[in-house]
This record gives sequence, structure tokens and C-alpha cells, in this order.
Amino acid sequence: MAQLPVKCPSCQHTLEVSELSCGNCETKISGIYGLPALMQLSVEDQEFILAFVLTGGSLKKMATQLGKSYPTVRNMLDDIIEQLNAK
Amino acid sequence: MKKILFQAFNFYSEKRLLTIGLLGTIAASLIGFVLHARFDGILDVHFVESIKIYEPLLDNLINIFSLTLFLFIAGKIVNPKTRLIDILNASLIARLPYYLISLANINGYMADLSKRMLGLATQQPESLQINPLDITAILIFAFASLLLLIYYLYLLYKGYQVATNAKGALPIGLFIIAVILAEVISKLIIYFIA
Repeated sequence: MAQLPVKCPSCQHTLEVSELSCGNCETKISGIYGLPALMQLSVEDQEFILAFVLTGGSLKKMATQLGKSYPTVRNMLDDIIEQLNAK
Repeated sequence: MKKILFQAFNFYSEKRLLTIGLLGTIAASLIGFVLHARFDGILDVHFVESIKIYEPLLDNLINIFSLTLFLFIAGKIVNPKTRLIDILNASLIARLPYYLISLANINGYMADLSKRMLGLATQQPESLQINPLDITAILIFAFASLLLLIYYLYLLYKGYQVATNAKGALPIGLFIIAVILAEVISKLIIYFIA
């Protein structure tokens, strides 16, 4: 599946959703909708958050799964928190 | 190999690092005793004529304590989430390559060479003649010591960086201050206790 672009290729501004469509009845909804904060993160960061939730929020389990040390995984989470706080 | 040599703190668990660090320190201390090496300061290795079995280990424990203490304080300033175990592991692991300097004194070679040099320099400075082989040995020793010192400080900083999620200039400044303070304090403690 194609990766959802979150930044404008021309000016790097965060993109907004302007149209939604139903795959079943082809209904289309137009408007300006902001992307959720999580979707504005990189794919790697989104995958990290998904794995974090699936491990029940355990950084130790995450560290074992990713084959990284505990402080490295904690730093990755801290960096994501910093990005989310900046949005 | 790159993971082991340069990114150990990113990939290995704290238990593994602690085990390797402690076993390595004990082994290096025993080798230090056999080769008459004193580690009298976090950045020092000196060869002595007489040595007690516990002295290299006590030196290293004081050095690791000083480094851990000051780097932990710096780490807490940089990032309150810094854990003591990560800083301790950085101090233990980073020092391991530095212990290799003691190997220069196999058969008492470096201690004997230093003694001869000092004797010549102080008693008959005008007739100071140095064997080319000795000069080569000193140069190799100096170069290897410098490389090991750089590698030691590199590993120490990497461990501190991972433990504190260090970014920017402040953590680097605090790291330098912590290392200098640890050097001063470790030398003082070793001088008065050991």
C-alpha cells in the first residue's frame, strides 16, 4: 500500500486531508481536515508506537524485541514525545 | 564487530554490559598486578617496582566510582531519567581497552626502560645516549597509549550519550567537566587511601 504523504513536496508544510471517499458507495466528502498528530510522524516512529502499544507499554520488552539496549529504546520514545509536544 | 567496538551501549542489555565490565575489570586488575601496573587516576597508568595484589583492583574501583559519580551528576542535569546502571556500565566498559596499556610492561620492559632513561637524564644529562630500539619502543608505546586513551574517552562519551540522550553543547561541556573532576578526585583518593 502506498505510504501516506504528510509533508507538501513543494513547500514542506504539513498536508491536510481535503477529500474522503467511501470505497463501497463512492460517496465523497470534501473539507479541510488536519492530520492526527500520530500520522504526522515518520513511518518508523509510527511503527515504534504501534510496537510499544502491542507490548503493553513495556520498554524492556521493546528493547528485547528490537535487539537494542533499554536506554536506546527509551531515548527513541523520548524523541517521539518531543516531536509530539512540538506539534 | 562494529556493534561490539563502537555501539555496544546501543545494542547490549545492561546485565550483559555489567557482567562483561566487572569480569574485565577484575581480569585487568590481576594482569595489572602481574605486570606491576598502577592505575592511579582515571587517565593514568604507571609502572612501579613493588605492588600489592589488591592495589590495581582498588585503583580501578576508585576510578570507576569517581567516573560514575561525576558522570551520573552530569547525566541527571542533562536528563533526569538517566539511570545509575547505564552510567556505571559506561565507566566499566569504556575503561577495558585502556587496561591494555599495562601489557607494555611484559617482563618489566617499560618500567626498566623508564628507569634507565630517568637515570641517564638526571645523573649524566650531557652523555644521554638512547638506543634506537628503545626510542622505537617508546614511540610505539606513546602512540598506542594515545590511541587507547582516545578510544577510552570515545566509548565513555558514547555510553554517557546513550544513558542521557545527550544532544547539543551542554551535555558535552558537562561531560568534560565531569571527566576532569573525576581525574582530580580519583588521584586524590588513591593518593590518600591506596
